[in-house]
Amino acid sequence: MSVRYRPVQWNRSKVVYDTCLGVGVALYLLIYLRWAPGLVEPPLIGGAELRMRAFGTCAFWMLTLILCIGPLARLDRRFLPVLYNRRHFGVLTFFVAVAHLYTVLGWYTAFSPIDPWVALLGSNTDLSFLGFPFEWLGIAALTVLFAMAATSHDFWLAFLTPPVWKRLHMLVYAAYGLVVMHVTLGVLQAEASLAYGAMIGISLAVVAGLHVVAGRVEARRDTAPVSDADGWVQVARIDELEDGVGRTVTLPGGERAAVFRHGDKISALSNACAHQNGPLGEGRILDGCVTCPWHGFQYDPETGRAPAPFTEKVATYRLRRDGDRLLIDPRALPPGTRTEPVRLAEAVS
Amino acid sequence: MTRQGRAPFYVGYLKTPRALLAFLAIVVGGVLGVSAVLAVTLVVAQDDWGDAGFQWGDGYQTRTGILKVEPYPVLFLPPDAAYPQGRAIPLSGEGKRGVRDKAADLDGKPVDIGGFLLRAGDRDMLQVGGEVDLRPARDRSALAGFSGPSSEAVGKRTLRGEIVDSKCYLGAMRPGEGKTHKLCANLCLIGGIPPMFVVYRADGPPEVLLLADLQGGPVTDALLDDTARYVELSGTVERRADLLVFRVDPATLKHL
Ligand code: FES
Repeated sequence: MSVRYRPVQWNRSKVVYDTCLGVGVALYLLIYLRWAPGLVEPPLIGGAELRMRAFGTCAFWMLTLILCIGPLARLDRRFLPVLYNRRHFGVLTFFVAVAHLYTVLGWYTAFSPIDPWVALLGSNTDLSFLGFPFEWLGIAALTVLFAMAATSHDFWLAFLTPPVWKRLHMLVYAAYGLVVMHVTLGVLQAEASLAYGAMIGISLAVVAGLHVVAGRVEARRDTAPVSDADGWVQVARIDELEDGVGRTVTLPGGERAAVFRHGDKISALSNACAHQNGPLGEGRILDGCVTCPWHGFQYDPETGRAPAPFTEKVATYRLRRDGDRLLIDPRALPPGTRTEPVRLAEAVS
Repeated sequence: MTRQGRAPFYVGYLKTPRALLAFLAIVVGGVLGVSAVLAVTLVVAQDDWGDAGFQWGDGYQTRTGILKVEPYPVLFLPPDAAYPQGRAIPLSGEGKRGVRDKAADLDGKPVDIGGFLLRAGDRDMLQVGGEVDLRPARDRSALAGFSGPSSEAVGKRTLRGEIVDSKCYLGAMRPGEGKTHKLCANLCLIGGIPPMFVVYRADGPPEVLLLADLQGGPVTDALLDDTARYVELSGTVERRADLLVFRVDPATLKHL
């Protein structure tokens, strides 16, 4: 949560996260460029060609991992810390992809009187499928990664508003598709070895498979809401609610609410965090506040407002009890509206 | 809904619970391990692109012979014991440039040429430059009256192979063929590097033919969209010294 925008709000987790990222990229490149070539009988491909492939495959592997983080975190919450700083992962992927581009510009388009950019975009004009200028696809993917990296900061999130920002960042799937085609119409057309084709196939299968599985599991969690005569929806039996732990309810319109028992009180908020739509219902109460599982933004359970000096707020919902059942009014109240919590003591009595 | 009150809860700006740390260490270790295996696999599994290359070790080379400009500049050396048919050395400039401009006035004349050799298999190319560069021959005695190769018709042929730029294919880049290299191949060809047709053979090293149009002139512009692909071309083949020249009709080109 931030009141002022700083380049990065560093904390220990982010430092550790970024160190792991840096070590991973360095390890991959060192093995690819320094160690593994020693295992091959000479002649090996040229040094510049080897660097193109090292950076290119590294960026592809990073993009694959990034796309796996979301569904993994939905399937198993222990992956949430990997999601926490996913933006830095994305920004680093962009830089590795830039290194790939610059190796190409410094070799294939070098030593020629033609401007490297003109050469890159203009020297292959074969528009048939197998001959297609796969370089264009790579540049398009890189443009998307650039837009995402450039707007990754929370300033842009606030400036563009979360829905627009989210939509922009969903373009990562378009970038991935472009990269898959870039590789398929590029190196797969040149290299007979099965390893490169297998890399693409496994990546596609894992990314698509995880998304399908996570979607199914979530669909199963979204049990159809049971409404009362007056439209109120049943949340749970009151004695089922664990203190300090959220519960997600799907409302008739498809919206979701997050219901929290905090001490002997029960309150409900929108499930969508004001930061990046993180699932508040999967959060906890910490220091009396609902805490988002993604980046830890906090909200007062009764008002939906972040504690001062922060200004984020989310919608709240009215609750009422009916015997031992807890009911919710599916009509959201404007963000930051105070609601009366349901008291556990009277409910049980 | 499962009970998860006791499951560790992670908040980025707070201390990470111990139980989670162990899980995350395993995840990070696993990803690093897979990364290492991936890097090794992708390097080791690469195709063998042969040992074409610049012959820097031979140092600066000079040759004296007869220069022919069409379809692309080639130097012809007189026959000797090792090459009873004579020898053809296609020429390139430095970088992605041909030597047509420099060669234009010296067509059919004895010349001295200096530069560095490239070699793939037994085919040499000379990258012209340096002190000697390309100049009228100073001492013609080595030519012993040799006035250039005669063209000997081989016949009509339909061949399958790949159009490459001769400089990269003969060793300036490795691989100097294939789709990933197409961008570079086209730049070289546009710059004036002679195009060659590589016919892969199951029973030996590939055959490399210099491309020309049906009249025996340059054919580059008609072929740029079809480089770096497996294609079929028809035309007539002729032999000049130890070099095969393939005069093609670009209209016969078929993608395979
Ligand atoms: S989505 Fe980032 S803190 Fe909730």
